[in-house]
Amino acid sequence: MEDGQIIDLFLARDETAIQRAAEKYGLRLRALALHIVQEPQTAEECENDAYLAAWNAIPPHEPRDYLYAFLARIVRNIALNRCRDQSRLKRGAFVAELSREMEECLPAPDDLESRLNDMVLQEALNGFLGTLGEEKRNIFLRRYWYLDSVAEIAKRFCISQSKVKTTLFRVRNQLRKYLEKEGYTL
Amino acid sequence: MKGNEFLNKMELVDPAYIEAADAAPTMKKKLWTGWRAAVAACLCLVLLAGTAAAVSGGGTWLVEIFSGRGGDETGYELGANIEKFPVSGLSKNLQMISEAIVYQYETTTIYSSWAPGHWMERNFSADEAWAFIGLSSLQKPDWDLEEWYNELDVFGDADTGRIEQILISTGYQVNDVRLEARAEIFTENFDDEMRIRWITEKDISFTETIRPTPGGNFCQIIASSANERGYLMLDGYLVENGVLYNLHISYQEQDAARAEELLHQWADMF
Repeated sequence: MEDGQIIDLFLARDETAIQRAAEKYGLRLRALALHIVQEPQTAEECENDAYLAAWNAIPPHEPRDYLYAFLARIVRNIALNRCRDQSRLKRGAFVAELSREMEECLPAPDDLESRLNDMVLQEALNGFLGTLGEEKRNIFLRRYWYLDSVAEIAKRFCISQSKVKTTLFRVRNQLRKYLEKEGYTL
Repeated sequence: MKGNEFLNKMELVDPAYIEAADAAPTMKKKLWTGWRAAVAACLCLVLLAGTAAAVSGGGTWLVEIFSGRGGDETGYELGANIEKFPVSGLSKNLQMISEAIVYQYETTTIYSSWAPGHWMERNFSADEAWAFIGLSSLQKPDWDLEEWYNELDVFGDADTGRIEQILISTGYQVNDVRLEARAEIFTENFDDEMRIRWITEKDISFTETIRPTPGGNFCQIIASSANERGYLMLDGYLVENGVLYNLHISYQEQDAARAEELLHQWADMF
């Protein structure tokens, strides 16, 4: 079924919308959640919670052209929160480590009065990523979107772990400088 | 904005970049070859020899219970003197998972339902899973509890399919007490240092005790204080015939005696 037809089911408040979305994207969403939480049962729960969140979000949202990306973002957020909240997953420390690394990219950490709204931040992030070479961009996204470990990234790109760490360090600095230069404050 | 919020905001990245980052890289080369592999192997042997000397009888030993490490990490770390079994000693069916792992990696896409190098099956009874593994050293605890779920995980090198680790997990629920019994088998292809780590950011303390088993083994028991939701954890670890066994119990204070009794029942099967 086309994404647009699934969205129509959501808009009509037809519960088969969830069934159709699960048939089309369920395995992909669960894989994404499993990679983050590293625990199959919790990954299934994340997937199911994402359908409920999508049910509540459509309408007003109508992600006809990006349904998978829409669901994947929800799953990623739910899975990240599970990692933070559930110590038994043993992932809280890993997420905290990533958060500390991301903080290095912020020109003015925790400045409440100068927060970017999401649209401006989206423009800034994607603008910066567009300035990076393909490998650097992919390494950065594997780390901070897919939450890969340094070892996993090294294996994926056939480079040493020290090169991964160096690349990430440089890209974080570049991002901070880019945001400063473009006048963004977070 | 703080780092954790910024990590959340990565969701705003263009989906096209996200998909591109998930595509398999085109260039591949071996990392560890020649003298570097030899040096790494020697280092592994030295580490194994050093840690084996510290074994206190049960095959696992406490490396560290820590609090405030790296600022906010609390947890513990154990070493384990496991055996690395030859893959040829596993069942033919299990050895064939090697091909599935390679195939999965070769055909991986963002839409794949597994992580590269990981094969998982849940439609097994515990008996079927044990039979599927086919390792004579693997001991199936004879426990009179109803199985809640079973899961068989096989981990291997995504490029070559070489099987490195096999994990079989069985869940049980006894009233409000939840248990997961695990058996972990490591193969000759596993070349990392064996460490069991439990790390949390919560304000939890851990204590260690050792319990001798009727079979002459020793069970290492790590008990935690309650988390913010009132749940405590009790973990038992031991190595029997080279296989690492673990029982994880999650319970509330009023079930403490029952949880301890269940842990002792499990340990006494070895």
